[in-house]
Amino acid sequence: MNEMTEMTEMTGVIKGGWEYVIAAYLASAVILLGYAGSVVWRYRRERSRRDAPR
Amino acid sequence: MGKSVWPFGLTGLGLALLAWGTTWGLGFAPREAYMGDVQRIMYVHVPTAWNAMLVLTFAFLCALVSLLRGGWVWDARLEAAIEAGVVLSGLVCIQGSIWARPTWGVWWDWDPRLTTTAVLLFGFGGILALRQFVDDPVKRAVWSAVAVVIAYVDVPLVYFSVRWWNSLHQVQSSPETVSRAFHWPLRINAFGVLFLVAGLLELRARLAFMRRETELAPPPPSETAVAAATR
Amino acid sequence: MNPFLAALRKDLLLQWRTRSQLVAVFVFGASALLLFSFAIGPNAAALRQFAGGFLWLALLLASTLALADSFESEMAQRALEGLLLLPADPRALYYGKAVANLLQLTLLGAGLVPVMVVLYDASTARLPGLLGIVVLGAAGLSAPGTLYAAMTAQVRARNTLLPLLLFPLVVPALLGAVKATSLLILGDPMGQLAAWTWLLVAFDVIYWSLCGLVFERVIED
Repeated sequence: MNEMTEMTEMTGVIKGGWEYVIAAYLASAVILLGYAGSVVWRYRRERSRRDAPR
Repeated sequence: MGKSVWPFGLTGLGLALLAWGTTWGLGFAPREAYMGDVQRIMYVHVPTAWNAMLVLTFAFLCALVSLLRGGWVWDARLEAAIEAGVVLSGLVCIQGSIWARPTWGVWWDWDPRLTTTAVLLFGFGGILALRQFVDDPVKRAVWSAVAVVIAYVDVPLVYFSVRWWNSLHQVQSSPETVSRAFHWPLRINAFGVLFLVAGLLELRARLAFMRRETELAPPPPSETAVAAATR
Repeated sequence: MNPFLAALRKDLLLQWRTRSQLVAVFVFGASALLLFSFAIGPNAAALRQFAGGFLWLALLLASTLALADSFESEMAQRALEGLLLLPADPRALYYGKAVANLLQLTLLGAGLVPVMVVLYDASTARLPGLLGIVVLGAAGLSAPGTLYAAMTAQVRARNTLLPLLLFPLVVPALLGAVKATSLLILGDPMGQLAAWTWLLVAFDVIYWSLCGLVFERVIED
């Protein structure tokens, strides 16, 4: 029995839990935006490396 | 490979869709009967899972074309797809773990789909490592394509074996049927992740292609170097 | 002589000449079985329950050593290139090596069974069945293992790359072998042994054909 189910009222419904929702969306945002930023940054760096010596 | 900017636009569109779908799902979609608000994790978890599988399937196709037809373009796309697939699979595992905690009371519930994703994460992560350690570009391309084909063929086997193994112990599974009120944020986010990843795949493939060009034909020496050598 | 049989004969000869290495790998596997039992402690019931799992873990770990060794002689003095110059189908080379590895892993597994029986009190009346599972499981490790050993023998960090690539791949074979072994040791009231055996067979058929098909691309220059 996890701490999410009410002990006085055994309805089996999970109450609250927004901290988990926020954690999941925050992790998703960090990873997706982080990966996007990483790809864009590496791409731009390689482009400038190629174009520079000319 | 191309130099146009459409990938940036596509990625931006994807991010916008994700913002829209997430706001809808978190703020306006109805609360689910038994799981309450925790169920809202689904609006980012399911789209990520769908796209992870899609990207790995794309990697499989790139591997096949790369093996049968050759050419550096498809190897570049393969490299991009493996990397994106690993990132998405890892994210799916993190989301699944966060969802499992309030739902089942444990950080990992051995759900067959989630466990298969974890195996895929390690499998394709290993192929990324393989690409790092092989110095010869031709061997790198052939070997990673072979490894991707072998790993992808394994997916149904892994899924069924874990499912049979799991069914002997517990009947837990993530909710399969989703009522209509929940569809729209899900679909919007699914396209959001799809466009975001598609744009990034193109950029990452171009990056890989540029690196291949540098690797295979280093740039000609600068004028000063030539002058010094011919003095 | 049939190229496959010639390749098999070569590899069996190599294994015979380096049989002391096989003994060392066996000792490694046996000590792994011993160490695993410390994770459980002197709890007879628990040890019996997990005996199957630990047997296959020990064999899996030992296989990385045995498989890596199997390409050692090919790498020395560039023997692999010499072999490729012969007018023989590379697939014969693969299957010769894979079958030789299968034999070696079966020997290892069969040798570890008595160790398991003693340490974990995990005997079975159905010994032929258990040996059959050992063969099928060893086949599941040998097919992709031989392919990946050929790949990683040619690169740096080979000792890390081989298990890194192999372990996620053989999950279905591992699950099948572990479940089948456990059922043979603990009893099979619901008749599930056949299902797990067929999973092993399916895995073996798929990978013995697929790996043979792609081997040529892996060793070509």
